[in-house]
Amino acid sequence: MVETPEWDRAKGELRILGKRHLALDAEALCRHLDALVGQSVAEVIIGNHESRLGKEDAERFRRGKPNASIEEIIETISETDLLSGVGLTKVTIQGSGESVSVEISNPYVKETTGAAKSLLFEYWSGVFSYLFGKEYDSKGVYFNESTNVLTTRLVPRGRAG
Amino acid sequence: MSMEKPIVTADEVFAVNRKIRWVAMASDGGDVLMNQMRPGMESYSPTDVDREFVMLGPLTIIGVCEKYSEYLKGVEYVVVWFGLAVCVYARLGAQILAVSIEKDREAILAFEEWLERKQKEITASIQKR
Repeated sequence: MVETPEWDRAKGELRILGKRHLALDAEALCRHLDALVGQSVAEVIIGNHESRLGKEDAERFRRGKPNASIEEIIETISETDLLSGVGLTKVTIQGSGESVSVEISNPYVKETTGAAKSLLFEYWSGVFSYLFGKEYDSKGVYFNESTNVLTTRLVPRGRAG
Repeated sequence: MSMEKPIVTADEVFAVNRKIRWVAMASDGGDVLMNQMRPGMESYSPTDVDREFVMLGPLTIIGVCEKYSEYLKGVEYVVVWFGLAVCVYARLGAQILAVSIEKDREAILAFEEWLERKQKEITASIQKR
C-alpha cells in the first residue's frame, strides 16, 4: 500500500490506496441534490449511497487483509479519508461496538442538514455495519465552529440515541 | 434487517380492490419494509429490481414533486401511468407506500379514496400524540 495518492498524469488517473478515484466537487453535488429533491430526501439518497460504499470498501479491505483486526481496517479506511481530502478522521469504538464516535477535524463539508450531512458519516455507518454484522445509524451530526470539528455518534439500528 | 414495521399490511391494501397487483413500503430512510405481489399474480418485473427501486425510487419522485409543495399545498400522492399498469407513490406517516394497479379507472379511484382516508387517519393519530 502507498501512503500518498498516485497521480498518473499520462493516463489521467488518480488512485487512492489502489482504487481509482475522481476528484470532483462533492459539496456542489450535494447542494445541487438538495435543490433538486429537497434536503431530507437528498440526505437519504447520499446516505444510502455512502453507506453502501462503506460496506463495499470495508469488505474490500477485509479481503485484502483477511487477518487484520477491526482496528487495523479502521486505520486503513481513516487513511483513505485523509488521502481523499475528507479531513482528519478519528474513530473511537465504545465497548464491542455498542456505540462508535467519529470525529473529523478540518472536514471537507460542515453542514449538519441535507445531502452534505450524510456525505462523510454514512460511509462510516456502512463500514461498521459490515465489520460488526449489524446495521448502524448516525445519531445526529454536530459541527463545532471554534474547533473546526464535525462529529457524530453511530449506534446499532434500533438502539436509542 | 430493519426493525421498523410497515404502517399497513399487504392484505389491507390488496383488500381495497382486486386489481391492485403489487404493494411495497419503505421507511423514509430507504429501508424496504415490504415488497409483495398479490398472491397468484405474476410480476412484470424481477423482484430484486422492484426491491432496489422501492429503496429510493418513490421517495425521490415524491421529493422532486415536493419542491412545489409551498406553492401547491403539499404532495398527496404521485400517479404514474406505465404501459402495462398504473403506479401510485405516497407518503403514509413516516413511510413511503408504492402500489401498482391494473389500468382500470374504477380500481384506481377506489385505491385513491382509500389512500386519502388512510393519510387523514394517520395524520390525525400523529397530531393526537
